[in-house]
Amino acid sequence: MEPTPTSVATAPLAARYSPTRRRSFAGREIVTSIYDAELEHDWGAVYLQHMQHPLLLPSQKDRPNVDYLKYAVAEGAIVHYQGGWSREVGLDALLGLVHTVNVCNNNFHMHRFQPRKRYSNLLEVEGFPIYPDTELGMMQMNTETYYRLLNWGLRLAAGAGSATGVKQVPVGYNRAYVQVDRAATLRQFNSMTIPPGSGLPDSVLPTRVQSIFRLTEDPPACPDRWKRAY
Amino acid sequence: MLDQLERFAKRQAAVERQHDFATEINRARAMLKRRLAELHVQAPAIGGE
Repeated sequence: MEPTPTSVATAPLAARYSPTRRRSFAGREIVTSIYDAELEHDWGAVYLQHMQHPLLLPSQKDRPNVDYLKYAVAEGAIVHYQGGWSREVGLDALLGLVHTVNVCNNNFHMHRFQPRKRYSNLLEVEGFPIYPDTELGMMQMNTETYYRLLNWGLRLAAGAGSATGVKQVPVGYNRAYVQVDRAATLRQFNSMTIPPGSGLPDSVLPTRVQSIFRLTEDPPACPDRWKRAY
Repeated sequence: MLDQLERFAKRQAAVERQHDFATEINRARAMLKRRLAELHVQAPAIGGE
């Protein structure tokens, strides 16, 4: 029988299945989580951070995200949607299963972006705009679809992430960085990744930081060789 | 958007998931109606509902 989110989330876990591991590299040691997961089907890409157990529900293309997110939230996970333009993000956010929606990631960075005009209106809602395949158009798509959710009265923190992984770009581009104390715990790291308004309990987020996001028509200069689409 | 998502799910979701998903859509509709009422916004003003 397929485990239900509740039964799995409350099941006792053997010590050997700790959700974290200590990793060391170049003389530094950090604690990393090992059960974080990503959903990536047509319902929308979602990142599940701070998972305490493996995601036991099988990956199925024809299964909406909501089932997985219920499980993750019951686990105390932090749920990030890749974009406000994802098909299922509105539903899941209304149900209280989403904490952040990314407004910035390496799909849409201004210096080097991935054209996603076809993602403008995935549900084919009458009257929704189609954004041009330009750096500004893609950034507008990210921000305006995020604000559309806010206009529903939802409190969703704006997020940033490395959506398509690390690319061959200069250090400082196309990756999301979080500055934490050298001896920060994983819990402290998680707290720094989520700005106010996420709705997460203080038990998950002992401290919070302000996020600052600004969309400008005058982007900062960057080398021409990087200013192109993938 | 919820109407369109429901239509999408009828094409994409596994048959055994469709009833449960429709229930979630209806829960979300009720939640959206309540939130928009709190904001004193009419649903058509946000488009697509």
